[in-house]
Amino acid sequence: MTEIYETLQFGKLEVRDEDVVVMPEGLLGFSHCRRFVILEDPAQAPFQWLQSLDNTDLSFVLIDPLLIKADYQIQVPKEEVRQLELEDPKDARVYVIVVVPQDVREVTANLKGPIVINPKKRRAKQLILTDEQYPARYPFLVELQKEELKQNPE
Amino acid sequence: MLVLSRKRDESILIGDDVEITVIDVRGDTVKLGVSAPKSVAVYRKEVYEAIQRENIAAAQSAGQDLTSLAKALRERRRRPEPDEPAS
Repeated sequence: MTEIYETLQFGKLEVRDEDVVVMPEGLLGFSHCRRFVILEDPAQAPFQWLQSLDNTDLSFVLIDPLLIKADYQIQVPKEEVRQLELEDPKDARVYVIVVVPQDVREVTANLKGPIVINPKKRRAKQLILTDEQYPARYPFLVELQKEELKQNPE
Repeated sequence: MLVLSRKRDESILIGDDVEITVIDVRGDTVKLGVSAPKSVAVYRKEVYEAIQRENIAAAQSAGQDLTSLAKALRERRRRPEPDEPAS
């Protein structure tokens, strides 16, 4: 079955049942938003969007954390593996949410609250990591530029 | 808010399934033990709030055009990196 949604950011969307990702607990601060689709725009790759179907004004910018922090590694706790119905924890696809401030150079990603998706069951959850090394506001552009300077000292 | 005073080793029960025990009191730090079913998540409040704040900030910022930032990221990945370890 296909349903049409009128979204604020992407206009009219034709969403098939099999495209819908369900987050039974929603996102922190948006617990009532449970149904989403993940959207892409090749011109803005590698960014993707988590578009809410329950509130069509709502969307979140996503990125694969490995693209912004190559050593990013999370362990999906047993209880979350169970909730997501993951047969193999390695099936999990991980995204982090990006915050784009007025000055785009200060863009950050939330490494502390990744979105973990089970693509086979189309279920997702926002994890809250207890690991202190991952901040909720990671200034990845600044960090990538720092790294670049280290590798290419002038 | 219900305010209760507890001494070390005393507990509070929340509903039938959640128990909070005072494990230790040292200076101004209280060590609490939480017993709850696996399905009940337990977080330090400031961590929960930080995530929530970032989600809200993200929701407000999602409408922007990321084309130039995206391009910069893609270009960076294409640039060869010296001393890249073989994986």
